[in-house]
Amino acid sequence: MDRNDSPERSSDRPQLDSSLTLLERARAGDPVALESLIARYLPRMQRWASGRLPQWARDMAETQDLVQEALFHTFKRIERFEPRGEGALHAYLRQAILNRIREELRRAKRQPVRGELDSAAEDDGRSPLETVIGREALQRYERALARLRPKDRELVVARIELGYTNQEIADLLDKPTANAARMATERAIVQLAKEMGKTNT
Amino acid sequence: MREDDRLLHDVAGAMMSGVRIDWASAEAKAGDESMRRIVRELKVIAAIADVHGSSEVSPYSPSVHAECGKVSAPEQQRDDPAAEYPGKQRTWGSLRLLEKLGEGSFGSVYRAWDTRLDREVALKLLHRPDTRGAHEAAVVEEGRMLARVRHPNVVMVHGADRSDGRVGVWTEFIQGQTLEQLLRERGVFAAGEATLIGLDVCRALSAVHQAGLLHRDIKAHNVMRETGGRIVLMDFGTGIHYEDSSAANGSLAGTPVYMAPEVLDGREATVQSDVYSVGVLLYHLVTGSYPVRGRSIQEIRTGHSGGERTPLRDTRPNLPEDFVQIVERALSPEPGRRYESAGEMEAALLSARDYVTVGAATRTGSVVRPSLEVPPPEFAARTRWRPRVLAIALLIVAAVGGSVWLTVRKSDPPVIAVLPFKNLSTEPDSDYFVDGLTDEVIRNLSVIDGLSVRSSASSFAFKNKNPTARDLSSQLHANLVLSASVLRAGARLRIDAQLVRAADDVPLWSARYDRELKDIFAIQDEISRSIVNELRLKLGRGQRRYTANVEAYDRYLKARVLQSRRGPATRQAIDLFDEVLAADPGFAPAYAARASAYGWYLVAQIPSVGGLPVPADQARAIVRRDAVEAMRLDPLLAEAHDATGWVHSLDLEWAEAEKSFRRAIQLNPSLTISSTDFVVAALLPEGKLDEALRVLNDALRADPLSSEVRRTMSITQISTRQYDAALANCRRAIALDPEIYAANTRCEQALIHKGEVAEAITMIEKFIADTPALKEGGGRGYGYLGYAYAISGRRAEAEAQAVRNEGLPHQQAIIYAGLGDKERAWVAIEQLAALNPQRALSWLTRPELDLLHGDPRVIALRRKFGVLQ
Repeated sequence: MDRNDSPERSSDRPQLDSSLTLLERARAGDPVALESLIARYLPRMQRWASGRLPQWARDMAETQDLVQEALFHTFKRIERFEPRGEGALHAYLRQAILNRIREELRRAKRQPVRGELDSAAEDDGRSPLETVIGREALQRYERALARLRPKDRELVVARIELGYTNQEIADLLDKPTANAARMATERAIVQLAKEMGKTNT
Repeated sequence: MREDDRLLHDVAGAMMSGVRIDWASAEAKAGDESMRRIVRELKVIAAIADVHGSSEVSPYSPSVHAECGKVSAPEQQRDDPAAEYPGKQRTWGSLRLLEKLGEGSFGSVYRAWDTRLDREVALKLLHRPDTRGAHEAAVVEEGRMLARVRHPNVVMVHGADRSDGRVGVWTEFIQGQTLEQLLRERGVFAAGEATLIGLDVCRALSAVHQAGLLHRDIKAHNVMRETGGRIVLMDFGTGIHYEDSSAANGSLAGTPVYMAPEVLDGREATVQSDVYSVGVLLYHLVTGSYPVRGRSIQEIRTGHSGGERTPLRDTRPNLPEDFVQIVERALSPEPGRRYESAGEMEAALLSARDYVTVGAATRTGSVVRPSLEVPPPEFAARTRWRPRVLAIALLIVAAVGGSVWLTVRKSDPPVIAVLPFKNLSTEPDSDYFVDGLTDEVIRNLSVIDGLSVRSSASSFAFKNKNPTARDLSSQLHANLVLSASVLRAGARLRIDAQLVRAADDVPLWSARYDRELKDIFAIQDEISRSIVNELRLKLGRGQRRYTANVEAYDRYLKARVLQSRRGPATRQAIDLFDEVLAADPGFAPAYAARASAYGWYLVAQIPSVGGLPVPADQARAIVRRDAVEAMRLDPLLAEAHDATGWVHSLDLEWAEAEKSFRRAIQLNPSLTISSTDFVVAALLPEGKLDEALRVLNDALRADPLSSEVRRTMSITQISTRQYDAALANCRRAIALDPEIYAANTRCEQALIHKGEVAEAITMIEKFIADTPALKEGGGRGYGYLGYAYAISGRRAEAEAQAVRNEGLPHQQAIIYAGLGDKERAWVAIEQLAALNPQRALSWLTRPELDLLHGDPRVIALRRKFGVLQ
């Protein structure tokens, strides 16, 4: 987990100040704003989702655009989102995409497998995350995440799942400095681990 | 900061800085077990961060074993047999190649036609010779030896030869799916089903070993379940040589995760190494995973030598102990500790099963009509991870008169052979009808989970031979035999069917069907369904698998997702169910789901408000008709019982409704919509709130991520005055599915009762402003706004809301209650009860209507609708 917080990478950062404005415009039916929003969030969300899809699902042609479609769908129908800030928007998008993925997996799992008599290419249907940490641990994580305070949850999602740097987090979540963001994230991660530990008991 | 806290923050800080963490050391520094647990959770979080932060090629790349089993990329030349044999026009020897079925590193598999013997075969054709001349000779020799193995569970090898410069082995053609395909489609197997498969694989392996051969490549890809249910061991080690070629090109043939450690170390394959592979197969079937995994043979070897095998118990904790022990013994690293033979493992699997109780219904052969209430079907549900008893009580029928209990031995699990039905008719053309009927029954039985059925081919081998039940038992390894006679006289048809226990010829069930013969296919379909359904009811098990066309099934699944969202999405779900049933009128789950969707509309909404695609009385008729149809098609379908529950709820038959919903949950606990239906349609109207919470808690255990269960939980918890819990649940529901219906109203309702009325009003006003339909009506349809105004002293605004909600008595009741106007609240409830008694009864459990509690009119109302004796 080598995060590069150096200033030269700041150009990667989304133009944070205008995301919520874009969102408002997209809600009002501005297609350009919608496109800009999707373009802004797509790469990171795609990378994030790649950890959440099992191999066989990622191999399916129709799931390639899953994230894009989910983003489109979510931005189009985001009336219920309370725009408390950029971090909240990330957490919201993450959940919406996660739901979409789950729905897609439920659907895809029931489709016939294009099998071969001697196909030795195996896949146990788990996502990379599940493969690495196991289904139960992932559930513990999800449940604990849901119990965190919204601000802590946003920090964890931004850092652990979306890979934002401390500086980016500071910008996203209105922390005065990268160091303040780092400390807040550190606290949130510890809190998350404690919550997971409670679930485990 | 406490020492322990400092440690946690140090670790978290190190994670964020990308510093390598010595987890063992961090854990050792933790003060106590609870702190060690938190350190371990930090490690989990670090792994999650790594996966998300990884590039395409991550150290945690998925499905590590997939790389081990990689098949060489097919080359163009190999794809088209015509290209391979330009002069021969898609033939090889005397075989005409019909269709390519698969491709492996060794060669290709084709469906082919044996032109000499006029039969369909499967042909495995090795790639063109390179340096493997000796290997090919061995393949031909081995194929010829295998051709001598005759066993129902071993694929029949017809021959092996070299022709046109290529080596091929041809076998019987099996229609079915590999266990790997089944595993991917349906999820992991129950231990009981895996045991049945294990028994057949062991029997097959014994036959192979007795012929002096080894299989050397047992894996889920190489075991097929034929359409009729027969388990067939396929694809011997022919052509597959495991090589650690990772150093050369990173591509490996075969599946090393199934290989015994000594074979991986270069020692000879033995009977015990085949036994090891059967252990891996069973492990894989019940977990979807493997005991030792790795990305290369070297990693797997290291895993074995480092003792990194994951015990079966750790992967899936709730398996029966006997089953776990058998698998673990087969997987012993030391060959000497494994079963000595496949036969010994088969015996262990047999003896691991529980005693089976067999009740003989009658010895007189008279018709036994099974009650619609069937014994608990341990094998019925497809739920994963549910502990199941390996063997079930077969045919527990209350004995009357001459009935006896026969429970003395460990009986085999049900494997049914269907004898070709006897044609007693003299009419010359009736044979085809009778054979067709036999086929239909076999086909219908073969889609029942938990039952093994011998194939048509096996059954018809006994046609006109009058075998005894014992003959069948020994030759087909079947322990139940279904036979029937068919008598046709003109347009009259009489069918007598009976089920016999093969071991001692004891009849277990019999039935007679008299029908007018109008449409032959319809009669075949109806009778085969009746026989199969009654057998399932008798056996008390057997979840039917549906094979609707893919498009229809896809729509069905989409509709189910919409249905679980409730609200207006229900209407979209109904439209999709209509389409599914138009495409596939035999698809029982869609009838049941459509009935439930209409049921929900009728009970949870006000019919007069609209939203229903048809008038309310028509909707009621659809609920009833669809529920009956679903039950007729599949009486063990959980969804059909759920639909029946709605019918009873609409008829205010509470006890019957409860029974139906409980049965639905029992049949498939993972179908949590049955639980929420149960609560909405019966338990809330009945005022059984504690029971509702129990049901929902169980549902939550079965599906912790169900937003609909959370939403229903929050409704119930508001009625039990657990507002904090209700708030948490409705928030969770929204987090899980931002589009779920009306969970926000529950949050606002909970906030109001927690005293945070101002915040609730802000939320409601914003929601109304953001929702065009609500905004247009000035909040009509949102009674809680009026209620919140009323209790915060804004009475004029509350009154205005009451006016806006004219025609919506449920909303008005809430507002009037907020205003403290008991009389007007009661009148609204009375109006609501006239439109929708179920909803009126549920409404009365809400805290807003506390002012009506104890009112004799309410008591009389509850009594009138049968929820108060």
